[in-house]
Amino acid sequence: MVKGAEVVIIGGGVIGSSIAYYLAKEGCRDVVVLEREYPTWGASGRCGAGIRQQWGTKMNCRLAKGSVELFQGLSEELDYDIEFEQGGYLVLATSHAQLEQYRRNVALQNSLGIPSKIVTPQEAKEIVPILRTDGLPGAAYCPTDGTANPIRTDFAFARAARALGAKFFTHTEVTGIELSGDEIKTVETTRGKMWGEIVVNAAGPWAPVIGRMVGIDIPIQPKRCQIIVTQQLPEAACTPFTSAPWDYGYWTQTFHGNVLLGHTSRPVEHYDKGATFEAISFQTDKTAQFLRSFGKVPVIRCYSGLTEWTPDAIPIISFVKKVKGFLIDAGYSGHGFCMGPVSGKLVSELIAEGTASLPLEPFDYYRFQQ
Amino acid sequence: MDEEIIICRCEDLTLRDIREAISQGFTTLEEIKRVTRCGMGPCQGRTCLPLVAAELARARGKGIEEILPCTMRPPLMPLKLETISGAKDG
Repeated sequence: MVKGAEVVIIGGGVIGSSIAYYLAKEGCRDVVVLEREYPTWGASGRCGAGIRQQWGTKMNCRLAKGSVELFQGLSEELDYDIEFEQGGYLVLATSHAQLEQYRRNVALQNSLGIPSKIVTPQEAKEIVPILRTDGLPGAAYCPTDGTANPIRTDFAFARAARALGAKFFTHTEVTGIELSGDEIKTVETTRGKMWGEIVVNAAGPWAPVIGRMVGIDIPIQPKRCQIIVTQQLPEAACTPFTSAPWDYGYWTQTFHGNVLLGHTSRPVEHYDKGATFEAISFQTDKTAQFLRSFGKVPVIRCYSGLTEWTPDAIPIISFVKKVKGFLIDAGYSGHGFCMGPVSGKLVSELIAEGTASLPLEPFDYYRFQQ
Repeated sequence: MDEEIIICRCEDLTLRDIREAISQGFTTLEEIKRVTRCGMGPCQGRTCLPLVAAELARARGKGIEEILPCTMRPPLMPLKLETISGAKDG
């Protein structure tokens, strides 16, 4: 264990590892990451791994576009294949009202340089040949969206950050934070105490637990997302990433051929990451409604993880006035993996230069109190 | 032991692949599973993970009972989607 560091990051998921990497790249190499288990143990190793720029707000579009631009060069930059593929992303509308909303979203996205478009049911079927289109009014599609391997992405950031001098302490849980007035005196862990000039709360669904240690309330609610895994299928059997957010969840075929059927996130007590039969049977029923010829496909596993929701589904990227040097980067509301690279870059800029290359006002911690 | 021996038949991984992951600093079964895909195939680690646990125990100088298993998740054997949902497939 070390005595302290310029920057102590709590959480070794894709957000924490990405911050550590971009900080080290900016020249701040006195960085420590505290991870209660190991990188990918939390949300990052359990997500559906969709990367999409199709959002309804300007700030989310800008964040996601920034992330895609970083994802494009990451395998080379980090010297580790993160299996990034811009295979496109289809968002099904299951009502005319939804489709109208997608039309407004696409207009906004196009104005920001995101090449999304509205597609007819017939065009959607050309994109996903086994899609059942009965009753579907249409969909939105963006060809430059895609997927990457979240496990490899987290490991890649952590590995590259370490190579630049950042230190990762795995199996090291933060148990308390001692304050002296409005300053952080020590961060207490299961492996001893340490000091940090800046302490970043990148604990994802556990960010409120860390917040309570410094006496602040972080309005983040954990929700459980369950995913069913099928046996490996031939290439492009079920691509690209497709979601029907309000009614279903999503499906995506991984680089290795397995199809993941993802259930929408639901509130859960006590950080329960168990699997429920209710979710599994709901998801298999819905899949049969949306996809033809899928009944004989074997399911080999399911898993579940936690997403982290703020009241407005917009992340918190913000220093806190009450505690000097305490920075929150959490609350990605189901999109932390997609936003991981840009999040790390922006936070590293904020720490190293005092300002970031995208406006961070929309992500202020204090917006909930207004 | 011959390092070319297959440890994970589903994902085609050899003892050398497993030892390489351990040498990169991964210390738990879950981490080795995530980084190599060992145990992610149709058998869900029934054959390979006890072998990897033994290898990890050896490398870390621990007893095999000290190596934590991976989380067990349903289904216990591959099940067709239609078996679970009962939905008629067209």
